[in-house]
Parts: sequence; C-alpha cells; structure tokens
Amino acid sequence: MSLAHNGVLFLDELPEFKRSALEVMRQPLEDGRVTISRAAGSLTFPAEFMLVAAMNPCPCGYFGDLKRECRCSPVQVQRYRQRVSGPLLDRIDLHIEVPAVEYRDVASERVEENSEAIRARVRKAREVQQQRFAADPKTNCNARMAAKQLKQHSKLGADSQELIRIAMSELNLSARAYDRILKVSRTIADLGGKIDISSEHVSEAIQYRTFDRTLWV
Amino acid sequence: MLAKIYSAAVYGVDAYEVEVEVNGAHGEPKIFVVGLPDTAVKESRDRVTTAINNSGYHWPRGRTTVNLAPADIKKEGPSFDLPIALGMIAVTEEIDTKTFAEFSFVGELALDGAVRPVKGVLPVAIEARKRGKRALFVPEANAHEAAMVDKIDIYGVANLRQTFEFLRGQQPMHPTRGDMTKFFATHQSYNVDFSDVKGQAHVKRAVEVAVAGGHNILMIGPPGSGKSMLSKRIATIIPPMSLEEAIETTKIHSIAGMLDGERSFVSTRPFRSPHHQRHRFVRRRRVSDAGRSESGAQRRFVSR
Repeated sequence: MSLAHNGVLFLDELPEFKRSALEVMRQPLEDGRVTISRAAGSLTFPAEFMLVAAMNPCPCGYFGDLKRECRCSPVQVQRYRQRVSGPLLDRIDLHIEVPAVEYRDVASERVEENSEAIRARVRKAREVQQQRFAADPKTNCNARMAAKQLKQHSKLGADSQELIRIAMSELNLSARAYDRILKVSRTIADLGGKIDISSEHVSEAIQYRTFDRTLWV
Repeated sequence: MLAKIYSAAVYGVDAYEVEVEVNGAHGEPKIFVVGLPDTAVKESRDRVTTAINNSGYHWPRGRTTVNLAPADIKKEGPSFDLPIALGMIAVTEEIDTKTFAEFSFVGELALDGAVRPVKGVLPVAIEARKRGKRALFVPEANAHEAAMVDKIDIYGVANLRQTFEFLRGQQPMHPTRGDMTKFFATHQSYNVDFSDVKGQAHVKRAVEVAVAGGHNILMIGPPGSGKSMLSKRIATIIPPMSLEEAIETTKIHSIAGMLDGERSFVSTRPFRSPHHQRHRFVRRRRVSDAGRSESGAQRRFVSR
C-alpha cells in the first residue's frame, strides 16, 4: 500500500478481494498512514493515495447491459455486491457506471483530449483548494475536508438546498452521502472556477452516487 | 586492537547510523556478534570470514567481538557484511580506523569477496549526509540509487579488495554522480495518455472531478468497457509530484528494493495494482514471520 504513496492504488475486481484485505485499508484511507505493529515494535509508513476501484455489476459482468443478457440470478448479484462492505463504500466519494463502448466510439478517428489538457484544469482546481486550506496543514484537498470546514466552504443556495432535499428523500441517501455530495459539489465548482456552488454542481454530484441509488435493490 | 566503522540501517522509512565495532583480543579463536543481530546478521560471520580469506586478507585469529551500536534496536539483513569485514581486516592489519570515521559503508558480501546489492540505500545515503559523512560506499548495483543524494560522494564498490585498497590509497576510484533535480525535471512523462481512451466522455468527466478533489472513485461496468484502461491513466492527470513528495516516495521504493540502475528515482506518480489473488499468500507469509522482522513487515504490506 505504501508503494502507492502519492500515487494511485487501483483495485480491479473489488468484490474479489478478501474482506479482511479491504478492511485493513480503512485506516490508511482515513489518515494516509499505514501502521504496522509487530512484536519487534510498531512502524508507520506514509500512504497517501487515491483509491481507484473497479468492479463488474454482477458475477458475469453484463447486468444492466443493453446488448448482452446477464446470466446471474438476483441472489448471485446481491451476494456479489455485498462482498464490498458499506463502510468502505462510504469512503469512496464517486461511483460511476462505465457502459460498454459503442462501435462508433472505438472506430472514430476523433482526437480525444490528452492528459496534459486535463491536468491543466485539475491543477487549477487544486490551486484553488490549496489557497482555501492554506491555514490548515492537515487538509490539502476537498476530499480531506473535516465536517467543520465542509460547512464553512460549501454553502448552498436555496434552490440547491431544495434539490438535495428531494434527492435525499427520493433516493434514500444517508447523512454521510449528503456530506460526500457536498464535497464533490465543491470540487465541481472549483473545476468550473466558481466561488459559489450552484444547483448544476449539486445535481452532477448526486449523479455520482449510483451505488446508493440503483444497485442495492 | 579496536576498529570502528560506520554503517547505517533502515527503520521504517528512515535510516539510523550504526557503529560497527570490531575488537580483537587474545584467546580462543571465536567470533561473537552482539547488538541484537537477527539470523542474517549472525550468519554474516561466516560470509565475512570466507570473503576475507578469498580476497587475500586475514581475519583476527583470536577472540573477536563485533558490536553493532546502538544495541537496543534489532539489526537485520546482510548489509553489515561490508563494514564488519573492513573492521576485521583493519584489526588484523593493525590499521588506525580514525580516518574511516568520515565514511559510511553498506553492502552484502559474496563468498568470493564480491559486494552484492542491498535494499534501502536511499534513506541510508540521506542519513549519512545528515551525519556529515564525506562519502558513502554502496554496492555497485545500488550506486545510482544512492547518488540521487547530493553533497556526499557515493562510491559504488564491486568487491572487498577494491574497497580496502581504495581506503589505503592504493587504488583510485571515482564517485558516482547523479543529479536528482535534473533527473526529476527530465523524467516527467508517462507512456500512456488519456487520449488513448475513446468515448466514455462522462466517465472521463467523473475521473477528472475525482482527481481534482482528491476523491476516491469506484467504476462499475461490464468487462472490456475500459475501466482498467482509464485507471492506468489517472496518474497522468494528477499534477506532478513536488521534489519532496518524490523523495518520500522513492524512499519507500528503495526500502522495498524496487529500484535499479535505470529507474533509480521515482519521478512520476506511482500506479499500483495489486491482484486480488495476491492477498492469499501475502497472508500466509504474514503468519510465517509474524512479529519477527521489520523489513519483513514492510515487504508484506507494500503488496506488490
């Protein structure tokens, strides 16, 4: 885990990981450190990384796919998803569905945006955040905001409040999901160079909670 | 006759200085290694004596005590072979080791006297510089890794004889030079790019948002939809590491023994992708040497 320090830790096929292996990741996710205690003493390694996880929607992989049929029974699907624990999911701010690629996309000659252009935008957003958290050495990005900071930096307008209220009751979102949505909205606003969070930002952030919404049926 | 040689060992992500004292006394020819050595360090006694013989030197034929100070931290790994051997030769040849005080040594010895690579030379080099050492002697294969630290001379040594002859001024040697800042500036590119991924515009947008705020992300989709491909490219859109971040990351990779001559410095954001089956035998190893070793613990946790 420490080897991904300052980088990306990618867990492919998330539900295939041993539950115990995933649960030990909760501490490093919270405070960016791995502490190992052995008879010989305890050691701390820095482990500040961005967790990227990927999974199939069901064991066969085609649940919800428009073109191929899924071969799994509802129980199988449910069991597969339950292997990822709720507390871990709670620590993942964004959930996104990746549909199968369309033929016209694969074959297209259209030039896609390169990393450099995206990185430039990301850097700008990060600079905004660094200024915001300049006084607090513990926080360096929106994802690490504490509850108090969140309140201070993510004020919502009346329409956004209303939107989030409807979303919460319609989609049965938890209080923690609410916090996550606020954080992500803050980031989206930063990316757009906006000081205030508008309803567009909030609605985009709500989209990134797929897992809370559709999947646990 | 007492000889004192300096070395260093890794503890966590940092290194600490170790004084290797070798004392030759009269009495039964026996060698004692003290100062909380683990098995690999205790065994160095046999490696070292053979290596000394095969290099054409002698080791003290009397009651010899090797002390690794500070005595309260567990010493592990074979990296003390080289300093122990030098200490023993100095004792037999009756050489004053005061002049060696400005040097530090790490290296494992082969039976023929060749110096084998060790792990974690970067933190060792940083510690040596902090202690005001003039030069650090490391195995040849680790020289580039250690040379990333400036304001200290790094000598990559091939064998015991060469090292000793250099110390006595019989053979010249040139320090290995590396320029961390320059290396860092020129090694910033990745060989993958976001433009490789066709379509999936809304996923890309989500990834961009995640990276911008440092959020974790979960992608759900059928096989072959590009989840892994996108993930591999995430590191390319995170703003580059600062020099301090890079040093810290490199230290961890140095301890894990994952650096070599070509890739002696981690200048780009690491991307780790542990496989899920991996954990099964990671756990098995965890049980086998639980509680035993520091670097063992690291090895297990860094999950390659």
